[in-house]
Amino acid sequence: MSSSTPLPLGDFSKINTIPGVSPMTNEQKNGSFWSSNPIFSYLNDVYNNIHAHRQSLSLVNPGTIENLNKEVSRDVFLTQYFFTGLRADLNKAFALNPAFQTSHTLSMGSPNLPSYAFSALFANDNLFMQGNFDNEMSLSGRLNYGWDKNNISKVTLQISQGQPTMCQLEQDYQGSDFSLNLKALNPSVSTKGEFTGVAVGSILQSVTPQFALGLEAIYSRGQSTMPADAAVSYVTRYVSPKQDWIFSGQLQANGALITSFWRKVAPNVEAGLETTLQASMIPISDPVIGTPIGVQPTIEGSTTLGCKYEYRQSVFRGSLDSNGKVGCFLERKILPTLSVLFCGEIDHFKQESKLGCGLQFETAGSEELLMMQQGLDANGNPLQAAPQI
Amino acid sequence: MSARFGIPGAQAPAKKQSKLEQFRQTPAYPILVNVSLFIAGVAFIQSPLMDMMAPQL
Amino acid sequence: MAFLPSFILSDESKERISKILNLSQTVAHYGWLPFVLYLGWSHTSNRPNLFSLLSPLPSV
Repeated sequence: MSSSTPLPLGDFSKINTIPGVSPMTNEQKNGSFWSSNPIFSYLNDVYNNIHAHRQSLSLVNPGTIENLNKEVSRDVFLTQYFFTGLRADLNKAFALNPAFQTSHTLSMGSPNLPSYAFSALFANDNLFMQGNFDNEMSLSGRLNYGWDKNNISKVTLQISQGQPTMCQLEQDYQGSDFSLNLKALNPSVSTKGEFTGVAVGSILQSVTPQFALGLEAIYSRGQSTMPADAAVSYVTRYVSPKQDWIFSGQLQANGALITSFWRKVAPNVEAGLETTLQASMIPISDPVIGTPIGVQPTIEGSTTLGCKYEYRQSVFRGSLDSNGKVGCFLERKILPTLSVLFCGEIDHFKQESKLGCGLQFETAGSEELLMMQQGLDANGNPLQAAPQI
Repeated sequence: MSARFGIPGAQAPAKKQSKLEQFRQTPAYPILVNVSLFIAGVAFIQSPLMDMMAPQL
Repeated sequence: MAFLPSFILSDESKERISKILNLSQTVAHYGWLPFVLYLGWSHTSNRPNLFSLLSPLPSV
């Protein structure tokens, strides 16, 4: 305040105060003891300053560690979609909002797919529930519940006959600039008070608007008599300012280094690249006697290049691997209610090949959806835009 | 050392390994190959060559 | 649980706990999918009957 302006007497609020010590504002006077006492108001100020500074960095939520290289390994690569043999999916949708659909899957000649499976899915704004039951009586179920827009609880169940049950509890918290995730796999507390199972905690924090760093800690104890295991993995992710390319890296505790790169080449073309280097120890045995004499570090690596083309009626994925594998996956919608799937893979080094063919039927469980599949609205008039079913 | 005094057949195959073959046995080889493949892949994806592979609709 | 010495749990109650765990596993095993179907059924407007819920054929 300049000295030329006369200070109106009686108005104490205009008087300069000692820096750091300020009279309580009206807001603070009205607050409770916790916000009005000087120590806590100082702490609140510090917190507010840090918060304001964090806001000023304009950081965004970096996404979860689970989705760290989702763009490459789940969207572009075909490992998630690949199957062998013949299969048919009969999906029946009953409603879109809340989403409710059932699905029957028949499969032949595949070593991992069951010959028949029935699954049902229900999802509304904060609940997602899905179950899958196959002819070998094994169940896999997922339940996600969103408490608010930041907190999601997840339960994953896997029960099959003759195999140990797997139950995973998970809690996801997405802050303004970080993501926190806590997981417990088959948690139990023995009578001696020892934790058994696997516990995983991970955090991914945005450092700049583009760059995020994170780490994941794993604690596991299979049996209470065995000593526990703990490990830490480090992850990083960089999204380009225009969001058109993403780099991510993971250094896992088991000695694997995974780097991936993704780029959106055109609105309907994406390309992805992933390199995995796995370091491990292999025992060496004596060439004469055959007894183990030591361990030798080995490093195995592979690099995969993949691309994805999306057209109006079809999706094509292709991949090329440094171990000599060439694969493709083609999905084409020939009718609004029928899609054809084809996938093939040739391993040039091992001289092997795999082939898969499939059909996907979409049927309607209600009048409204049947009309939508035929491009009509509920009254039988043509829809303006093509329905996305 | 000449092969005349060595055990025939035992030393000879080891000597045939060239420098490249020896290098292929070390753990540095897969690291080098995959790192260079990754760099080449990134360069390829970022290059105009990849842009040309996108269909002009 | 850490403050509880192990001898407080008698063999009988241990057996009961493992029985309860087994039962809840069986309930989850056979009840999960019917529960999802029930949730979906109760939230759709036209309340499809059991046959149309389970059959893969279009029901309209």
